Amino acid sequence: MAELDGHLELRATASADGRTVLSHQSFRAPFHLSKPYAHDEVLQVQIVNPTAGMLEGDRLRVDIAVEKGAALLVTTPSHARVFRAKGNGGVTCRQTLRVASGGWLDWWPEPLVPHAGSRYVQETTVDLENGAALFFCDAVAPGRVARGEAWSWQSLEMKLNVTQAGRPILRERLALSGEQAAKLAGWAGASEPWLATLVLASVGENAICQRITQELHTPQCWVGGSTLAGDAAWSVRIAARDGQELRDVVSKFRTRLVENCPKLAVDLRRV
Amino acid sequence: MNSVPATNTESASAAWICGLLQAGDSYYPTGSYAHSYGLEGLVQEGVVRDRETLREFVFVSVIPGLVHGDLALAAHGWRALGTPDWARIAELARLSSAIKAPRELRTASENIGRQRAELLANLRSAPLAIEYVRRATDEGWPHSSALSAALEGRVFGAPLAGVLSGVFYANLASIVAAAMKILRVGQNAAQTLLVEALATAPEHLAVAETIAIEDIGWFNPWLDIAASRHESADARLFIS
Repeated sequence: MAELDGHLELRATASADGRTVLSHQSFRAPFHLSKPYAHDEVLQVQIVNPTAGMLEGDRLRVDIAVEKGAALLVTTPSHARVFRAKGNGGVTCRQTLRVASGGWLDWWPEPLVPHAGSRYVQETTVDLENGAALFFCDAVAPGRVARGEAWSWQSLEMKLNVTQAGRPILRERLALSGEQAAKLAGWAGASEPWLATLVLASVGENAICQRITQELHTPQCWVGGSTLAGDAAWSVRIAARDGQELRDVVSKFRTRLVENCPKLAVDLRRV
Repeated sequence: MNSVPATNTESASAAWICGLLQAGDSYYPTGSYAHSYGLEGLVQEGVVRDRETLREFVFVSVIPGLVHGDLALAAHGWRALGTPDWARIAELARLSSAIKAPRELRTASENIGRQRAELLANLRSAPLAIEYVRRATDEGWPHSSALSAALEGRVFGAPLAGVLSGVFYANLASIVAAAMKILRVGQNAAQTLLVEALATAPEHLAVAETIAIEDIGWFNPWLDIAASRHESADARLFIS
């Protein structure tokens, strides 16, 4: 089996006229970049995986830096799929996102879909300088639910470490077997929920985030958020009934923040 | 700078056992009785409704969270305090805060941890505890109930298994005690649940002792959401 050692490196820099440009880019399969698109002050980069998905043995590395004054939006056109591991290995993906003071990173890839029998480890590190702004979304599906396949992965570990000015403000670790995840979801009364974590920094007053989470929460779609250590950033969790509901809630969250954070007002140019 | 030396005789072990019993008693003024650790939020959302759903909560959420959270932190803290390795203690203190995303869960641990460390310093005049409190204040570490439990263990001369047993019991007992105030769960039903959960202590403590620092952390999305919503609940009995 061909294993991929893929990487993606991007550095977003503010040019003299205030536009954001990619001052460095390097990528190797399974990563590919579509042509960047400049919104008013935000540069949108779409990461494309031209292969079918992630296969056993793949090792992926993502390293993205946003410099002072630069504004970068990173998206993907479709869900990231992790396929069944037939041997003893799995897929590892290590992501490092760094945002300088005065920089803006909008990280909104489509959700991860772990297939039956897959093994996946993702470790994401987000380093924020004081005054860095961030909208970060990381989402995971219970599986290929349209095929009746949910909670069928072998192992799933998603780690997120966020630091602000060098101090850890969030360490989350979702590490569950499919069976454990099914039990947890069943206990919560959610049969096949799609889960997301948002991390927000410098996107508005705390009271605004509090109000938005309260407005979006319903008995069927849970939304809750809280200030992180240091009270300068937010973590929001969403448990939606399906992928469409998750997308709608995240979109509404972004829309309601636009008044305080105009950089979120971008048309993602996707269906 | 270290604490009372550990001893090998059964009668001498009474000292650390009594110390841990006092520190874990609801009569000890740590404020832990005022917290439900997210349970009240889950009751308000209708997920925990009775003994059966409480039992599920304990086994699918509370215990896994303890193993990969406070128990692992306490194990690393107990080892680091043996030297003591203050840089490692500071790292663990910040990690303890970072793994609790909802503010109420984080501040509950910080407030209880501060109270326990300060009580230890004041009541026992233990040099290790005094130094711990001084460094936490001067260097701005967040306090942590798990690290304070490790500190108590070191001051009392308790072995790691004793410290972790205390953390396991105290956390489960706090949840069950809170449940009796907000659910229709009687004393016998609560105690049988506690007995069932405590019976799993050996296997879970053994796992917690082996967890690497980089693997500390575990969360239940629904617990975090409920705990976050509890911050702005119209009515509530508990601080968290």
